[in-house]
Amino acid sequence: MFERRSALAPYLAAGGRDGANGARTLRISELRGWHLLQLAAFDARGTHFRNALTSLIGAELPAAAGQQRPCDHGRILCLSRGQYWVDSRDAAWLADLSRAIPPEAGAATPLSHGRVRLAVEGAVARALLAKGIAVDLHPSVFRVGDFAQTALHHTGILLERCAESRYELFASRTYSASIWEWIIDAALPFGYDVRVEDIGDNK
Amino acid sequence: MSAGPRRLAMGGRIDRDRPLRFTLDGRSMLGFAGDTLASALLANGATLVGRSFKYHRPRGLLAAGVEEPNGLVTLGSGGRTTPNVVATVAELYEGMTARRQNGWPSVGFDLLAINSCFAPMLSAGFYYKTFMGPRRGSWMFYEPMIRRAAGLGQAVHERDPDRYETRHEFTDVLVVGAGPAGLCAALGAGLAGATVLLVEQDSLAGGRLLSASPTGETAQWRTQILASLAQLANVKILCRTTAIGLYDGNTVALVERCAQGQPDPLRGEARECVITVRAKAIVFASGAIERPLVFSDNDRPGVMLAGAAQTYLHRFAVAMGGHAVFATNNDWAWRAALELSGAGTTVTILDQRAELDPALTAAARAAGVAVEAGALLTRALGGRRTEGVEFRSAGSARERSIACDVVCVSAGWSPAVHLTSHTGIKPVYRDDIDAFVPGGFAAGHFGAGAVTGRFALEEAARGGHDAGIGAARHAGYAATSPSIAIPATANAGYAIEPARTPVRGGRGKAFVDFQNDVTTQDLAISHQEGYVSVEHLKRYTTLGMGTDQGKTSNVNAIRLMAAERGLDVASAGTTTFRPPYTPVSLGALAGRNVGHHFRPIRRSPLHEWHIANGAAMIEAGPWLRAWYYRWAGDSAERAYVVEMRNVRSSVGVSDVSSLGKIDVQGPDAAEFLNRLYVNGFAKLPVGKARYGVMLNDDATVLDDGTCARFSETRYFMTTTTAQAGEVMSHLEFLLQTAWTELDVQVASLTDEWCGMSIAGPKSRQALQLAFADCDLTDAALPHMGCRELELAGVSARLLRLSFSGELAFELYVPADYGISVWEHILTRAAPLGIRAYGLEALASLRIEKGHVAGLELDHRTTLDDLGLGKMAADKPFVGRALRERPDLRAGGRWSLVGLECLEPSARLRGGAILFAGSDPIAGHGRGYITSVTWSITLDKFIALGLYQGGLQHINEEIICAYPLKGEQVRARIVSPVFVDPHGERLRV
Repeated sequence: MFERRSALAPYLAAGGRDGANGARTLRISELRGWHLLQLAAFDARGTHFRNALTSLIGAELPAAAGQQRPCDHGRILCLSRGQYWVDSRDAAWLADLSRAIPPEAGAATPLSHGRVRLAVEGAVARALLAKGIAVDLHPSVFRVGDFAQTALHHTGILLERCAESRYELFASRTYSASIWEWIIDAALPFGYDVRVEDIGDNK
Repeated sequence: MSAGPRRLAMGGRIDRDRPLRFTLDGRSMLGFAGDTLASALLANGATLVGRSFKYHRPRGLLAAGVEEPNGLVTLGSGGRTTPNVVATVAELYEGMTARRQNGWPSVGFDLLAINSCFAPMLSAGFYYKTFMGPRRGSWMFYEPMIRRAAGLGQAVHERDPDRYETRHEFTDVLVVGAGPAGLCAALGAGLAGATVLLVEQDSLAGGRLLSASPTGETAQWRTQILASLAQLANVKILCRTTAIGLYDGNTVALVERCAQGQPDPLRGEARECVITVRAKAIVFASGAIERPLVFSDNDRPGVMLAGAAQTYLHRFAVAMGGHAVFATNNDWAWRAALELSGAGTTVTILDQRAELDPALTAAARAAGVAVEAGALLTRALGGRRTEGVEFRSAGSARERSIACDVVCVSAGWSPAVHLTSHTGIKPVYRDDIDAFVPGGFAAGHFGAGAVTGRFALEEAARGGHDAGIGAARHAGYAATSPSIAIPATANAGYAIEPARTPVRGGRGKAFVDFQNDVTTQDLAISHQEGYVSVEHLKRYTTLGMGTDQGKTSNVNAIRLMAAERGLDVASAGTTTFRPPYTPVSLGALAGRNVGHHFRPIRRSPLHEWHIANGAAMIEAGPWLRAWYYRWAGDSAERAYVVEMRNVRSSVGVSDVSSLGKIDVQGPDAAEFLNRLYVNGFAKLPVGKARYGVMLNDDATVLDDGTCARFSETRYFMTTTTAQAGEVMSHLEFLLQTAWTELDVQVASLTDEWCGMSIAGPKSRQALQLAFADCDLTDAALPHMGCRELELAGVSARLLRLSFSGELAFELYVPADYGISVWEHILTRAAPLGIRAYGLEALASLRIEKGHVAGLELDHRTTLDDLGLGKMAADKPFVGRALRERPDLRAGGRWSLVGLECLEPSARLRGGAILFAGSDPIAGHGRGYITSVTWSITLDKFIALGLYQGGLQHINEEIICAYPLKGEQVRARIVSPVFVDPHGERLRV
């Protein structure tokens, strides 16, 4: 009955444009079909939380901040000591996980609507992101699978290198239009295509 | 069109196959690719480049690089007009339009040269002394005229159409300067395996190598080094890139000139790019800048630096003149003199030193160069061009003269210590080179070449290589790079004697700072008037404060100042070097933070709906919020009244998504909230919400809001829009520092949920029509009740609470569902007359109800000031201790009152100053109005305000004065709750 409407719907409709040399060397996408849960341990109950979570997701937790591991129905990222994001295509499983976290061990906070997820792909993706992100994106430093909590256009984002020339970023929903405008402005000399990428299970 | 009377037929690094047309003051000229504007002008015989700042004296080019103080021109037209461009740095391009500055009606015929006649009135600090009378305040009569005459170029008001970019770079080793030292440093670090970024402000790499013959041994060596660097994939060279500032954390700001000519911003082509570099190690190879001599009329067109003459000859194939006089105090200038002689110029050398190197004098003799040892240049002769010089020999008072058309001066070389000094390491004086060098290098910083006082090529190259190795090692590489070959001719000495300035009293002005027209006389005046320190000298005379930042004047000034004070140069000190090293365009500093990119905007999940449905939007902090809707009126003043009336009589729905929303979870969440809020939260039942106020440590009110309990361990806190960020930081601070024993986690949910307030006597009916399956009776959801529920499969949170004073509900749904749910409510409840209402109406409704908001919560008001003192429970809470301060307990504090306007034809205004009826209307009054609205309930203007003694003065008549509009309006103090004081409407 109720429909989801992306914060970027009016902006995606504008499509892409050619770059300075008439080509389009970037693809900028909004990703849909994902779900996000933030989990945070209470300090005194860290062991209890880790044990419970390990059992629930069927995988060991990442050892330190900045690391991620696959788990049942998705993956788990360690953002800081005792704080995790679980990224899954299965909304129902994530909801069950949220309810299953012992309330005395940790907090579960859904963030599936609070973030927008974008992908920037192409040989010049790194050059585009370097215009505004103060992270060393050299391939030998920011490797595939690495992610960083950083800032773009004065707002906090999480940036991840997903493949050789593909980066994804999570931006706050209320700032997402401004972030989108920043990205396509930075992409102007390169030329870009725009698309929606459904990465969910329920296509 | 001719290549110019001064252009040599061969030589130089210009491309004669690519002629470039340009104009100077509308006159067409020809240059070549590889020229700067300055070299093209000289080649065309244009020696007059501008008029000086104060005296409007004719000026020519002094230098060939960024240190040029006189050759400032305006380039471009329209929005691309750029004043004060240094002609010696501006790369020539096809169609360049250049205009000389500071002459009226023209630089060639400048009537303002009459200023020279008033020179005694325009000396150092004149604006503190002259133009002060005949009476007090006269300065402001003269100031606009002086201000109009000040400055050199003129900016335009048209929008700059160009694009300016930014980017971040990371590197193991940053090398600043691509002269011989920098090239060798980059090679050494690069061969060691480090990633290297080599930056050079010039359009070509090479530094002083570019001032030597392009076919000589050093030129070949340069080519070889560059070829070696090109082989290294880990070395990147950026020319046309100036390092403008050194900052903490090995961060360096660069400005890259991306495009010559006309970049196309619509294709994303940038004019400039600011690059923030973070390096593990930095090699400073920023070279040195030649100093001029100080003597009478040393600013005549045709007087230039010896090194500049050499550069114009070898790099740009420009012959400086038929007869050149070289005046110097050092060996280096002799090489330039001999090279010009070799190119066909008749040369005479005046060296102030009595004892000269026999090898140099022999070489001069062989070349037919006349030499006068112990000769002190005293004056340049001529008007708009040099015609000769006067000099005195040692031991003689007699002035002799030589006819010439160019004077090449050299008082030695000053290491470019600006960048190395930016983080506070003061330069130190070395008397062996009569110059200042960096006072030291921080860990991870290395210096090489001329910047460290090593001027010989071999010294610079070896030093650069060693510095590069050192930098690579500091970056973590085991550097064992092979040594490099250096030309055999590279090792030449640099003997120098401190420059002497002719004694004052001679004819003409002796300029120390050309750009700001500061003379030796000005320095003397400054000293006489007590401005003896170098910092005072600078500011009083304005020496070194022009766009050239005194690159050719600072050291000479320090020497002269030291002499005035009877000190040695080392003791005299230097001023503080600050970024930027060279002028930076405002466009570059703005980057892409222009227009709607200036700062990010926060948009509600309902933003698209508001725009499509006639909302006028307004900025509220970082947010764009719906201000009012055009269904209600075409202006805020008309619309909000209509929207208010609809809420009070029927039902309205408002977007409250911008309220801060914070998730508070944990076994200790209740205790946490109980310590945070002034009122009790420990026993708040599940399924209930409570209004709460939190204080700062100093007991002023931080914020108010509601907190709903959804389970034993889960709470949902709302804050005001304005304070959401600060409250979140406050919570995290307390949990991480003050109350680490509490098991609580907080998370921002402001982006996660879309919030809407459905308010009005028909609000329950409206929601019931929209969600028929929900039990919204008073029994099921009493006032201040809360519930989590599912609406057609969508998780939602429903709270029954009111900001407007009417029966109201706040509904929160996941953000992506916001528009769909909102439209559903509007559609289903349409028969009730439901309409959207905006921020203006929302604010007005709360004023009628007497709710405090941001205008009252200004971090100066206390709980008691706002009439909320009774909320404070007998328990510990943040701010409790300082709430007991005598000042905050004193009677007579400005506290919350309501105000009713007593004059039907007048209005109340926010910010109006409040006076008792008997007070004189002057000064700060007894309070002020914080919030105002037209009350649809009372049919008059009402307000909330802070008044001395507050409601002790209820029913008293006061005056609301608004001096900006000359208004004084009578009002009565009343209760701040204008509507439904007993809350009956809330509990139906």
